[in-house]
Amino acid sequence: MSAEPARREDAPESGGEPRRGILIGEAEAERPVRVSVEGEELVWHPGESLVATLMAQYFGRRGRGAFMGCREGGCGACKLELLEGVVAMRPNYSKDVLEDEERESGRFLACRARPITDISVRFVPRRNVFFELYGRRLREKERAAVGEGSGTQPEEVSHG
Amino acid sequence: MGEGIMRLGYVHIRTTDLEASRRHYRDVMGMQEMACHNDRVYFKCWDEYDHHSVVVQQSDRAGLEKMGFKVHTYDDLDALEKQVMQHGGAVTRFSEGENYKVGQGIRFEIPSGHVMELYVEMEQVGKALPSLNPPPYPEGLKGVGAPRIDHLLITSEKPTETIEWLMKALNFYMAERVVENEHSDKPIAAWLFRSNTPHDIAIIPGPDKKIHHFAFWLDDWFEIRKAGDVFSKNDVSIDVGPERHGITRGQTIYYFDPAGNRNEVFTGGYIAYPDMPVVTWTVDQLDRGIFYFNHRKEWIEGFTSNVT
Ligand code: FES
Ligand SMILES: [Fe+2]
Repeated sequence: MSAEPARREDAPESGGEPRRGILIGEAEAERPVRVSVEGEELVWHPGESLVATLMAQYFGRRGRGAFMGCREGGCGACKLELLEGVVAMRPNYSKDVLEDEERESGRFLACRARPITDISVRFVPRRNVFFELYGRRLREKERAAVGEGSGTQPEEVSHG
Repeated sequence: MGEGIMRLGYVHIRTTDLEASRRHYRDVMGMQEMACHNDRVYFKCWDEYDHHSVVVQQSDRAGLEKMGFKVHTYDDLDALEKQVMQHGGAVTRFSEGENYKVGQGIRFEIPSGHVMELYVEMEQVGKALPSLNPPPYPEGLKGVGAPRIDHLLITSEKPTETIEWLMKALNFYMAERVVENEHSDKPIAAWLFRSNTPHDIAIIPGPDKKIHHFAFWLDDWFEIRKAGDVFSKNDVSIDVGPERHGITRGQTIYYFDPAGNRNEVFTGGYIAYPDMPVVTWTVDQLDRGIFYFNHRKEWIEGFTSNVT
């Protein structure tokens, strides 16, 4: 893979590197690149998937929980929105969690992806019915304990 | 009716990488590869005697294609067919051989949209041990060397309805359930059985048609640790464990196959009988219910939301 792999048909009219793009294939950058995620700067190293970068440098630190997800392209827990840059995604992922249209709109799975250029990404929030019930009930109990009324608010599960 | 459903017979799952999944179930789990036809591979565990218990099929997505439960007799099959129809299920009859090595049976969707098949016969090939004066285990097991599959856990948008349907239409018994609070009688999750284990199938809230995991039985806690060694050695993606379940009292490691389908190695629990009093968990105690050692309460979220 050359250091300028992004010159392809899907490049913008200018003929330069596309500012934002998701390629399908095994490509990756030849040297470390910058990954900016939710206001933090990480460094991806050749040979690792993007979810490995996130697990090593983002999750499980500064108060964040550990990453939970299959790392095998099946569950969608690692879904990111590409804000800037180019990534290549391996084709062996489940279309149940990333339909073609969604991919074309700029979303991809970190566990199947490697960057081609510096990238900027953010997480896609997901819902979890079971966990919402659990969290709501805990809050109700807490409120009952301090003598307040109880309201219910579904919550989005966020990686932030 | 007679004795009805006997046990979980097969789990038919999809993969986005058939070769990788084949290596996983054969070399890591130690299953026997029984047949390979075009886009699917058939496996059985060493202590199972029917032709296969896991079918893996190439697809553009992960997840559960269907599950098969084995029924005692053809009279039972007819009776269950009637019950399923009485409870609004659209039943299709399938003929012998339509499922490789499986006899005739019925296919229908349960309220959560999962496809279930009931059948009476599958070609018996025997265990990997003789049935006359056998040793306790066969030589040359690979990897984990799981003796059999045990259960599966699915998600449902209307879990209460699905749970009640499985109990009414298919005579499943309830071992344990989760309710919203101590005054509620409405199960939002349940562990159901037809065999003598605390669950052959379990249902939790989540999207329809999805599988949370299916499990392999191992003989004891020591085997769970050995399985963990095998997973790490083979870079299998471990999810949670080793842990202890409050619900079912099982011991466990959760991990993923190469398509992201969650598997489990499971041991322990108790013997369940149809007349046992149902065990109830309130939703606020779920952290201990799901992972009894999880005092940090940090695993519930991703563990319950990630399904295929
Ligand atoms: S972690 Fe499951 S799809 Fe990436
Ligand atoms: Fe399980």
